[in-house]
Amino acid sequence: MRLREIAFTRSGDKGDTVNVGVVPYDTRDWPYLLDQVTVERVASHFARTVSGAVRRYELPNLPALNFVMQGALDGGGSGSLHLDALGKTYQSHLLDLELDGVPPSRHPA
Amino acid sequence: MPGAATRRPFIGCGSASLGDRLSPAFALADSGEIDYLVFDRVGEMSMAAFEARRTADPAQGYDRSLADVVRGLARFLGSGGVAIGSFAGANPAAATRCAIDAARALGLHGIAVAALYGDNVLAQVRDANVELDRLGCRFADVADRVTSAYAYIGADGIVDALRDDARIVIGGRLADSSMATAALVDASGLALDDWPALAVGTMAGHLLEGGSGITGGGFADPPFRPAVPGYAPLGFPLARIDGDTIHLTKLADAAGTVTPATVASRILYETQDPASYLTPDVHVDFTDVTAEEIGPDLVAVSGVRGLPAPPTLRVIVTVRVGWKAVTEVSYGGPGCLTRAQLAEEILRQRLADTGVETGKLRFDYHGISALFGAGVARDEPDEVRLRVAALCDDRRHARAVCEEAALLYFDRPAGMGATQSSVTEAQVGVATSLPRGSVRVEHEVVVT
Repeated sequence: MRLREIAFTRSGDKGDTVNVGVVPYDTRDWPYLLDQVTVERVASHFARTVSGAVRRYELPNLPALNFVMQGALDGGGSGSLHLDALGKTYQSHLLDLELDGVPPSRHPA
Repeated sequence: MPGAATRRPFIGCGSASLGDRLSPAFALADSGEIDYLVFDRVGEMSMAAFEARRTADPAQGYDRSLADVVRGLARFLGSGGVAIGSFAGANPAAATRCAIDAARALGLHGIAVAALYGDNVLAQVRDANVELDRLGCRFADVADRVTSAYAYIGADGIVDALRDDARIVIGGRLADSSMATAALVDASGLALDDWPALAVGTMAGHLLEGGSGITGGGFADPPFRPAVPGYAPLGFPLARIDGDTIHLTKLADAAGTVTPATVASRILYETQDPASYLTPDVHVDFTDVTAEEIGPDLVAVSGVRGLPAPPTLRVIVTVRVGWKAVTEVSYGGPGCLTRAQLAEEILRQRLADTGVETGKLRFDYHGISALFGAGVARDEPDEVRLRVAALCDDRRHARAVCEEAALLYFDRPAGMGATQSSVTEAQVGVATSLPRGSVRVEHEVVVT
């Protein structure tokens, strides 16, 4: 399945860094997101456009994940040649991430 | 007329960015539900743009919408409301004049306008020869290419102005969340080293500066996230602060919706490590933040921790890095992608053969690779737009990129159309820092 089916995302920028927040629609899917939406998978998903380090932060009470990706905007500012120099579309790209297994919200009752 | 003693820590969002819609701010102002309105008007690169305009014309270089804002806030100001905003740009004196003239024209007398000075730190970064990590050098190495240096200034300068009875406070590079923090300190009589309380004010400011982003803006992704019904412009949020809890809501008759989902989405926006959200006022740890629905369009946010403010202030030094050329051409119909790729090959060779020097050069295909890089090929497109972008040290080389691209019209591939090109100066904002003590913020008051 794809991330888009069970979570929503929001991206923003600071200089050459993009962050993408991930929030599950159903809080029962939090452990599944922790397990499936790993740094490795996200870094690989953005490999064509992110050249720096990717880190994952967890906010357990919302709950939400925050991915911070460096070297994501060709330097940022008006010297960036990237079409989306503010990374506002990156949130949508992450929603295409492929996940394995069945999340709790999808288990038959 | 209410003064500080009777103002409540009820704060509305006036704007989330330069050019934001004004009507939702005026609706909040006239509702009677808020005593402070905070306007975020600058992004990371805005100060450089204002600086350039002031250099070209000493009477410009600030956000001229300030006049319209003051006009729309006539009733609010007249009944004791306070407006705080980053309208000053690079020209606090001219911005003050603009606000005073607008207020006087409305017949508003006895209103104090305060402008903050001190965020322009070009002298300090030069004297300190600051490190510019992103460029791998120091200030002196690129001094002739530096256009501006501004420090993010915080709540303390705003609070001082409010204590001087200012009711319109304008600054240039105000930290976004510091405006609400200052409002909270002013209304509640807090101390500027009450870290837990400043953290709450900061989170309120961070949320409010999202504007319509809290009321359903940037949220619709049908069918998974349906759009807020209707087409009316979305209302802006307001925050009522009660101890360690922020009650976030919107006006009952405003379009939009405030939910834990819209709030969670906003909490994460433009943040990195939640344990280390640093502002000029405080170090916030919001790792354990909670967002709970406590009523219709009413969300309670709490669980933020406050630690002492960092010893340094964040500074953005803007540096010229060359000239950016962008040209776009379209091809359509069967085989359009193949023809566009042929155009790319020809242009690459042409630029190399004619000695056009590009520091960076890239080719993107709108609809295929322009946002996230070349992906898995889907079906052949009906149309494609080739985007050529280059960064050149020399403006003539940047122009040459556009000229060679335009000449593709006469070259091999068939059916090129809809050409557009531009050459602009390119700048980067390099983050650095200065010790707090080397930045002095003062304010000047003019009364209508």
